[in-house]
Amino acid sequence: MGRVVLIFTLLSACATPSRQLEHVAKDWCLTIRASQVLPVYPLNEDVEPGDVFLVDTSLADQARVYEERGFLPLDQLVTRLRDLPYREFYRDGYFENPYGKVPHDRPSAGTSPSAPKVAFPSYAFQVDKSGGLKLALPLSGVPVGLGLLGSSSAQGSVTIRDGCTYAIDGESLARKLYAWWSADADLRETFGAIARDTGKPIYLRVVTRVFLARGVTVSLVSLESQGAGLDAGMPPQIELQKIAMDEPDLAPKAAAAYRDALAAIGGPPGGSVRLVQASSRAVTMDEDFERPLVLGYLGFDVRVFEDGSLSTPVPSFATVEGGSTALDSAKAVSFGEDKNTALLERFLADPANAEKLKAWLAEKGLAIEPANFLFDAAHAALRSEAVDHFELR
Amino acid sequence: MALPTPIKDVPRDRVPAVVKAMLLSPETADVTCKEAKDGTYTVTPRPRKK
Repeated sequence: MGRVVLIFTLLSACATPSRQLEHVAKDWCLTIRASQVLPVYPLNEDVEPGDVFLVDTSLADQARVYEERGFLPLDQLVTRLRDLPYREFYRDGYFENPYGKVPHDRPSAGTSPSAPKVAFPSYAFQVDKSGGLKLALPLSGVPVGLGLLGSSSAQGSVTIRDGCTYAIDGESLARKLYAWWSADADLRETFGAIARDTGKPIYLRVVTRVFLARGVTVSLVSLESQGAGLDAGMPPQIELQKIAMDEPDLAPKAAAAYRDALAAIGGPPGGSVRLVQASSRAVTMDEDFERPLVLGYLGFDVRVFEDGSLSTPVPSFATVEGGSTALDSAKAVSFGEDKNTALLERFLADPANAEKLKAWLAEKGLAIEPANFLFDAAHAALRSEAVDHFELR
Repeated sequence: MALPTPIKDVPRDRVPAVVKAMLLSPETADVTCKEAKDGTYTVTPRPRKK
C-alpha cells in the first residue's frame, strides 16, 4: 500500500496568522513537489486528465509565484477534453489489468479506486499551533492532534494512504487539444485577442496525470514537557498504556475521554478523523476523505500566440520547477532548407568558421542560432548573403 | 547565445541535421522531435537548467 509521509517545516510562533497560513500551504505543497508532482491546493476531487486551464502570468511570474506560494492556482478552467483513449492507453500488456475497462465506478467511502497504485518518499515534520492552523492545513488531523495533546508544538508525520494515479499519454492529449483548438475559429480569435490585448504571453496548461489519495495517517508527538493548558473538552493527561497495564479498569474511561475530545474538536467536512492510538504525549489518527481527492498532477503547457496559434507542448513541471523558458521562445518557425544550407553546413563544421559567422551576424545586429540560421525559411536571403560574403559558391 | 527556436515541417531525413545544429547552442540541453500527421517533424530545443 502506497504511503507517503510528509513534512511541514517549523512554523514561527511569532508569525502573523495570514503569513502562517501561507507557510502551511507552501509547506504542504513542497512535500508534494518533492515527489516530482505539481500540487493541487486545496485538495480537490474535480481535477482530471484532459482539463485545460488558462494561465495568463508570464513564466517568470509563474516561477516566482510557485516559489513563494508553493503551488500554482488552477482557477480558470477553459475546457475538459473528452473521450480520452483510456482503453487504448491501459489495454492489457505484460500484465492483464482492469484499468482500461472504463468507466469505473466512482469510489465511495472505504473503497479504493481501480487505478494504478503510487507510493511517495517519506518525510517528517514539526508544527506549531499558534495562529489559525486548523484553517490552513488541508488535513484536519494535525490541529486535531495538537488539540488532543493539549500542546502548541509537536513533531510528527503525515502518511498518505491508498495513493493512486491515472493518466493519459501526452501525445493523445496534444492531438485532442490541437483538434479542439483548430475546430473553433471563435475560440482562436478570442484567445488571440487576449494575448494581443494583455500584451503578455498566455498559456494553456493541460493535465495529463493526476495523483489521488483516499486518506492520511497523522502521528504527532508533543514537544512540550507538559500540555500547554487544558482547553475545554481536553482529555485527562494520562498514559493509556500505563493505565492499561496498572489499572485496567480505567482504560475504557480514558479511551472514551479521548473519543469525546476528538468529537468536540471536530473533523473535516466530508471526511472523518479516527483515533488509532494515543498517550499523553503522542497521538496517531487516521483521516479518511469521503472520496479520493487529487493531491497533485502532471501536464504540459502550450503558448497561445497573438495570431491564435498554439506552440508545441512543454512539460509543466519542467517549466515551473526547472525554470525552463522554452515556452517564452517557442515561436515555431518553418523549415526552409535551400541549396545554401548545405554550403553553410559544410562551412560551419569548422568551429573557427562558426565564430566567423557569429561575428558577421553580430555586425548586422542579429543574434540568430545556427539551427535557425541554417533551416528557417525566413532566413533564405540572409543565407544567400552569407554564402556570397564567405565566398562559398 | 539564446535558445534556438523550434522548427516545424522538418522532413524526416533532415531531422538529424537540425538536431545537430540546435545542439551547437550552449543553451540547448536536449532536443525533442514530434512527428506531425503529414510525416514531417517539429524539432524543439529544451533549455539547460539554470
